[in-house]
Amino acid sequence: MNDSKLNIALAGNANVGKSVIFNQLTGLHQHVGNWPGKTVERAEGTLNYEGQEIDVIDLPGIYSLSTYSIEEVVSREHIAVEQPDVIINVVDASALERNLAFTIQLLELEPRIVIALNQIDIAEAKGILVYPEGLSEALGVPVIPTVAVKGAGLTELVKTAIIASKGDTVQPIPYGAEIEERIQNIQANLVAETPYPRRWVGLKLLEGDEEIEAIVYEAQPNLKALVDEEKACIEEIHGHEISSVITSERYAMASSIAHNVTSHVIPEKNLKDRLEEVSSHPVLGYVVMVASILAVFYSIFSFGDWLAGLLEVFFGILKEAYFNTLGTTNVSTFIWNAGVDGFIGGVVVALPYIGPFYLVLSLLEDSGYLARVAYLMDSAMHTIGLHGKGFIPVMLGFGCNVPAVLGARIMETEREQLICAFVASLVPCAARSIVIMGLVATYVGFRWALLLYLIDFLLIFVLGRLAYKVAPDEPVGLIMEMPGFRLPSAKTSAQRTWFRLKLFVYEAFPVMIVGNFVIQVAAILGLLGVVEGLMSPVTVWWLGLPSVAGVVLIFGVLRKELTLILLGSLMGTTNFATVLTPIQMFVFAFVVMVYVPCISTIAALVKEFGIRKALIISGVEIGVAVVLGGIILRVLLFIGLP
Amino acid sequence: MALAQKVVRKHRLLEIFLHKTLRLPIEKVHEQACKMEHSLNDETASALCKVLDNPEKCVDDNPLPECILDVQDCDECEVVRSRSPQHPLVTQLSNLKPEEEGKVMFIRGGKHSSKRIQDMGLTPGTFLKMVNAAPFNGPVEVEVRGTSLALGRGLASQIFIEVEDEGRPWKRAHPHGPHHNMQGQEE
Repeated sequence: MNDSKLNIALAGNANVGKSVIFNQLTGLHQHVGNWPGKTVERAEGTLNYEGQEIDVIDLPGIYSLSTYSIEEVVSREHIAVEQPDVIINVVDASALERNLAFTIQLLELEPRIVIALNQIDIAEAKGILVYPEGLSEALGVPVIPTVAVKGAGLTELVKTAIIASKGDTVQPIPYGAEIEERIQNIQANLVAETPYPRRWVGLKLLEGDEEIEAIVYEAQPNLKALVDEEKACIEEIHGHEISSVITSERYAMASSIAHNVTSHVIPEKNLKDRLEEVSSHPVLGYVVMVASILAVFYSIFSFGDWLAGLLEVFFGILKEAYFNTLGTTNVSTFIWNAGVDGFIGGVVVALPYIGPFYLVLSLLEDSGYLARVAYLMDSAMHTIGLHGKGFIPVMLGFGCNVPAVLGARIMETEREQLICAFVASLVPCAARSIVIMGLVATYVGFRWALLLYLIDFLLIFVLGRLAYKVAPDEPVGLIMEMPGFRLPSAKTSAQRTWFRLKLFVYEAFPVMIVGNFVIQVAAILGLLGVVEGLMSPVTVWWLGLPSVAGVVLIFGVLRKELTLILLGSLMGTTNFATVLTPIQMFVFAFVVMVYVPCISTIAALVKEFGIRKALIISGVEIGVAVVLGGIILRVLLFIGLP
Repeated sequence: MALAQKVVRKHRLLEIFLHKTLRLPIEKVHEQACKMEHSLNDETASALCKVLDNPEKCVDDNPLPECILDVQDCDECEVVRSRSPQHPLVTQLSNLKPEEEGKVMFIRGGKHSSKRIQDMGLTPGTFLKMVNAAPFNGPVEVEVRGTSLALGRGLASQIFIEVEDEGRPWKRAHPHGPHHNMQGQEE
């Protein structure tokens, strides 16, 4: 056995069971993080097979190695530049043609590769029989049939991968003579050095891949004329754009291989097919969706509330014990408030909701249902400039913005992710609903509370459109595979939830703790009074609120529902009708609703998009809240609120 | 369906006219053509086509939809088409009804989106079947290459489909492969 570590990369389409294989191989020896500078999950793990240490990396599920989504860029860089010792290409036996089109692209990168022909059980249920030997012969690479959810074939897979890692790299499948000769010609004239295989560079130049063009033409500008000539030649012959010709040919190869190694029987329509039909039915689909969402919501938040309550009691006891031991001095209070409270806030506010959220999201994803929700909500989401997948994070925002912001990564490009997270951070979460209900609905009237929600939705609509307009790049339409329903693996989902949660704690908690610390120190130094004074032109003059509102709003950044409690304690009463006018209550609730995401949400934004963008989003929201708050005040004064 | 196809053709013709003849900048012609296409009658469109010297390509170098027959309703269409079967019906994917089948002719639109569409397997010449269309102008679900794909209405309207005609079934392998076909015959 080789002493040095072996690097394996798992690659394949989405919904082929790639993550299941990853989890089966690496178990708890995983590390989930992000690709450097990218909002794409990077899952790595280790495995020991008969003394051989193996590093496994789970590449994102993609359909092509172009550069149109961040996931594609990440994957192709990893395969071409990092050059793993072996690639395990996970192929869905029940959708062989589409999967092979990707396999052909992988082979073009000339790696060492083994194919895991997965989900042969699902394929058989669909009446599709694939012959692994035939496939292996057609592609010139080893093919191992697997049923990942049951662990079948995985030992064989690893064994074969280790053998393949010591063998030769594979040869790409040649295109038709017309294209192949032109690739060879470009390749022969290629002098520029790139980290990629030469034939692949030739092919990508022919295809018009912008990234490769940029690299090569900078080093060798004179090659462009030749490439353009060859392109024009092919376009002349086929009457289609060159990239279209090449993609077509690739699919044609995939199709012919798939046909040659597959036989079919007609399956009966089963319960699963009917469920799939119902779930995307123009009427019933929505019924099922609303029911599912309510159920998901209810379960996440009732569980979250219960756990948060429990944790609060626990930390309450801890706090009491702490002060009983150390006594209530300025120092001990400061240490608790500045040092410990931020951590507790994170544990109590964020984790009880995020944990179940990750779990349910993972289960829904693997079951194939999420794709149907995105399908049904696509047109509604287009009104705010997002496509159907964006509905899921926005919906979650009503419970808590933190999972909503994190959920925005299901969008394809950074542009869509950012717009989606921005919109989600404007959705009135449960904490904001507490303020709206506790203040406006109770003291001003339920209709005024509803009006607030209405204003918020309008704001989401307008700001969403605006973000859509100002964000650079081409907007992305919805295009996705509608996977068949299947039972998600509880083990895989639980593992994934655990690793994602760990990542969240590592990355978001520091922001919460530091944020809390800064505010507490400011309080001790008496800076809050100064800030209150500085803010009074805005709070008192522009927004017409009592001057204590300044401090309340600052603390509200920690937890928005705290604003209500704090307002009560600073004004010396919880009967707000005696200290605030209805207009003040309405304006206050509006500002709290919009002004800035809470510190946990900001932390999530920082984690996903970096400090700069998180600050821009927060800044925009503060601006909107203040400007509109003052306008609302004046409008209400003008029409005269009862 | 014929109607949609006709309007697209008129739109393209107008674009060519506005750009090539009137020399309007290319980024402005689309909007203008959108407004004009509906008021253009068939006679004018055909005259425009002649003046423009029967163009084959649109201003953005995509192929111009083929000229189709000037008919009022389906009955007339059938009569006319039985006489000249070389005219296929081409329409946008977004116009297909559930269960209708067709073949991808060409894809219009931005470089990125058309590449994404083709990367997902909807290349020219691909057979597909409309499965379902979500209400409120939502996405369409199509069966292609043995899997199900969902496409937003915007992307679906960039894809032009030659529609299967009841009178002339496609000569092609069944999507489930040759064996499937054989079994079908045995029954």
